[in-house]
Formats: sequence, structure tokens, C-alpha cells
Amino acid sequence: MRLPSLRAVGTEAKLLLIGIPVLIWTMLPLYHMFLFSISPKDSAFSGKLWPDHPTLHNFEVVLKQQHYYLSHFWLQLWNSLLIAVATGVFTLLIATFAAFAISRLRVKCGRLVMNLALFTYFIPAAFLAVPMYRTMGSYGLLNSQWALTLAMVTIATPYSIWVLKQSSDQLPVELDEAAIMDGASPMQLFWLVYIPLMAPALVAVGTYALLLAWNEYLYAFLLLSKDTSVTLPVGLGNFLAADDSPWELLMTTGLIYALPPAAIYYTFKRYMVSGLTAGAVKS
Amino acid sequence: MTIAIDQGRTKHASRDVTAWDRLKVNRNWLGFWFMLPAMAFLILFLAYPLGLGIWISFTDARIGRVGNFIGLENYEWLWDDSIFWLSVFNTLLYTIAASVFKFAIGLYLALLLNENMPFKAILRALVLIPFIVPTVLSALAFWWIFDAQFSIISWSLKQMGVISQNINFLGDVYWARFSVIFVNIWRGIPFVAITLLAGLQTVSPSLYEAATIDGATRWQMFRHITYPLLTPIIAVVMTFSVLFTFTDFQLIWAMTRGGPVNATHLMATLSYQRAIIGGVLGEGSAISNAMIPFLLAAIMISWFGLQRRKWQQGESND
Repeated sequence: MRLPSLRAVGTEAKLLLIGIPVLIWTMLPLYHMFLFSISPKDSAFSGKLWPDHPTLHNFEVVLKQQHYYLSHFWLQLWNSLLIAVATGVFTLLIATFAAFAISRLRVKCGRLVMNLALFTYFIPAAFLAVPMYRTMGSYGLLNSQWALTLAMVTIATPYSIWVLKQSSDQLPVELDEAAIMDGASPMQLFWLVYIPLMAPALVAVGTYALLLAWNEYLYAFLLLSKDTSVTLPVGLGNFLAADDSPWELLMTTGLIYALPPAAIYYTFKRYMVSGLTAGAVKS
Repeated sequence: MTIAIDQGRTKHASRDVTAWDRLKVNRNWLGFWFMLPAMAFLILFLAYPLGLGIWISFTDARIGRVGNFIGLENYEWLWDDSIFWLSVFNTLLYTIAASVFKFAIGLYLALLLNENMPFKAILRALVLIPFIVPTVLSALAFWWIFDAQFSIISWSLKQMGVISQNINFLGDVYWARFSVIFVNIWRGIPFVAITLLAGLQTVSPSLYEAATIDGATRWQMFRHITYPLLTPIIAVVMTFSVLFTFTDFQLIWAMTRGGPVNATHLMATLSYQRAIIGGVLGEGSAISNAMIPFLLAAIMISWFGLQRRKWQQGESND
């Protein structure tokens, strides 16, 4: 009896020994940022672990848009939100329809479409940047927020179809058969049987698309240019162009920008990990 | 007589209904409608740009001007361009160094988090943080950590007496490469760790019990149970990790914009700089297209990794 418990103590010590570096490793950059946001401008560089006079002044400046670089803060936040939500909704609609058609209606060449979807997921966003710019130009969508939304939906859709198809394959076919026996039309099958059963995977996919759009920098930067139509990350990037950037404000804005995705992610974490890795584990 | 007519009528009516129903209910027809939005999107915004990207690389297109076909001139130009080759070297270095560390540390973390330990839930949540933080933001956070004057690393090392002068992290060629690779590792570990953890949790504990009874060491258990069962998911995760590292843009652009003296220019950032900032769309597209062979190679390697595992298990390939 004594030996295992000693061993357990040993492993626990070892885990703590590893846990602490992990903690420092992940938290240091963010803590640094947080420190900036609550420090007054002149004492941000003092190298202390906690400021002498913590203040919320920076947050006040940001929220009231009292700095030249922040003059469109609320608008840019709104743009980010609008584009993220639109991307989430469109992706969800398109991907759910497609996954239903492939998995439950068993359309011809569904397998081909799945393989194509998987293949397109391998096409990285940066690879498409230049032609996407040209394409949006030829559709007359440049500098419109539709361009960014549509581009993000396109990037999010293949993976979403793939994940949704994998999880709908796990639903028993007997459910469909029972519903059809009871006289359900395919549309009823879709709305009344399929959608409710798929809810967890739908949450995962919707969140994935929403966060993807919220975090996007390259395409936002590429497709939008007006100060009033860009998203918050582009606004943040503009800070860096100046030599005398107000760092404490930049970090404060950054923290505010990072809060919604963190909140959403941890709320839906249960669905996220199981939902999004389902495809990878199953393949 | 009336009965017969009625019968005929109902028969006729029901045939009408089935015809209409078939149109409405016909699975392929309905399936087509359900597939339509996805197909439209993928053709308009994915297939078309893809084709366009390849076409543009054979033209001398510039922003605001449709180009003429010039054959392989862009590629020939790139072949003699030392900055392009530098970016290829940087990309390979960046991808290989970052992927190796992401895999090693990610696998280690996954194995740790799979064990029973105190504060497991909190640790798991913490590990995810770098993944959730938007890329631009992590770039900004690290900007400060690597700042030439106020870097916390330089500061701590100076306090410890290791160095006497600040390290110019983002201004020195070698330090800049080190710094961006470091940040990429920081960002990439959670994805690898959490996905591998999900894979580990599908491994049945009874296998380990049986191995323990047979007197297997921990290393033997890892080598002969965990590793073979984890191979397919390792292949998937590492393919994605390699692909996304290889084509990284956001992190580099926010941190160094390719500098100092092109030392951190990846192919994606160089392509963007030439095409959008420089306005030479043709050349930028050619740089993008030069990524294709590398990407294909990465996909092929992972695909064969998956195949081998099926063969090992004696499953039929479907």
C-alpha cells in the first residue's frame, strides 16, 4: 500500500513541476498585456509584477474613443461583430444543407463532394489571398463588408461540411426510416428530426465559423480599406504603423477584442472539442 | 359501376399525387437543391479564384490592369530572384522547426493531460488560451516581449547578469527568425495537444491494463499501444499544422512584415508584398503557386501515413 501512494506523490510533484512552467509559458504574454492595460502611461515599463497605481483609465479612454487611433473603436467593434455573426449564420445554413444532402438524402456523388470539401480545406487562406482580391474586384465587392463575409464563409464551409457530415453519419438511420414511415416529408425530416439531433455539432460549427471570422486579419486587411468599414484587428494593426504608438491603449483595446472569443469558446467548450475533433478521430 | 368509376378516379388522383410527391420528395432532386448553396459558394469563391490565381501567374497583370499572357516569364524571373529563394528557405526553416517543437511539446502535454491529476480541468482550459487569443493580439503581446528596449526577457537576463546589453530580438536576422518561430510554437501547441488528447481518450483503458499485467514498461506501452493507435490522428494533426505553418501570414505580418532585411519573409508574406503592396499581381501569384509542390508533398506524406495504419490493422481499404 505504501509504495503506490509514494509513487502517486511523486507523480503529483512531477505534474506540478510541469504544470507551473506551462502556466507561465501560456500566461506570461497575456499577463504582460493585462499589466499594460491597468498601468498609467509612464509606469508601464517599470518591470514590476503589479503596478503601484493600478487604474482603469486606459479602458475609459478606449471606450470613450478619446484617442486619434481609436476614433472608430465602437464602429470597428460593431463591424467585427456583424461580420462574425453573418459568417457564422451563413456557414451554418450552407454546411447543414450540404451535410444533410450528402449524409441523409445520399445524393449521387456525395462522396466526391466530401473528398473535394476535404481537399479544399487543405487550400490555405494565404494561398488564395491574391486571386481572392482580384475575384472580389471583378464581382464589384471590394471595400464592401460583403466581400469579407463571403470570403470567410467560403473558407469556413468545407471544413464545416466535413465535420457535420461525420457527425450526421453517427445518427441512426432507423430514426429517418421511422419518420418516413410516419409520413414525414424530407423537409419535415430535416427540420424536425435532423436539426434537433445535430444541435451539438451545429453549435460547434457555428462557433468555429464565428471565431474564424472574428479573428481574421489577412482578408480583413486585404478586402477592406476604409477606416469606418474595417474590423477591429485591422484597426489594431494600424496602431503599429506609428512610431509613437500609445502602447497601453493598444494593449487595452486588444484585451477587449480578445474577451468575446474567449467567453464564447469557454461557454461552448464542451461542444467544441468533441464536435470539431469528431471528424479527425473518425477518419 | 359507380364503384368502378370511383376506383378509377381515386387511382388517377393517387397517381397525380405520387407524381407531384415524387417531384417534391425525390431525393436526388431535393438533394440537388440542398447542395446548391454550397456548390455555388465553392464555385464562385473558391474554384474561380483558384483558377484565376493560376492564370494570373502566367500574365503580367497589375492592380487595375488586366494582364497579357506572358508564359512562364514570372516563374523564370523568380528562379533568378535571390529574395524569393531566401523566402523559400525561411518558410522551410519556419515550418520544420516550428512543427517539430509543436509536435513534441503537444504530444507530451496531451499525454500529461490524459493522466489523472489535480486541477486537470483548469490546466486543460489554460493550455487552450494561446489558441483562442486572436493571432494579431498574440503578435502584439509578443511585440512587447521582444521589444528592443523594454523586452522582459532582456530585462530578466540582465538582472541575472547573463547579458550586459539588450538583445535586439526583432532587429537581428537570427533573433528575428527565432522570435517568430517561438511565437508560432506558442500559438500552435494547444491545437496539437487538444486534438491528440481527444485521440488518446478513444484508446481503451483495458489495453493498458492488459499490458500492465504482462509487465510492460511505460515506454513499451507508449511505443506499442498509444503510438500505433494514435498514428492516424497524428497524421491528420501534423498535416494541418504543417500546412498552416507553411502558409502562415498573419503572425509574420503583424510582427515583422518580413524584416529585418527579408530574414523573416515567408512565401505567403512575400507574395502579398509583391502582389498587393507592390501591385505586381502576376509575380505575387507565381510565388503563391510555388507553394503548391510543397503542400502536395505534405498531404501525400500524411495520406501514406494513414494508409499504412489501415494496412497494419488488416482493415480493408474502402
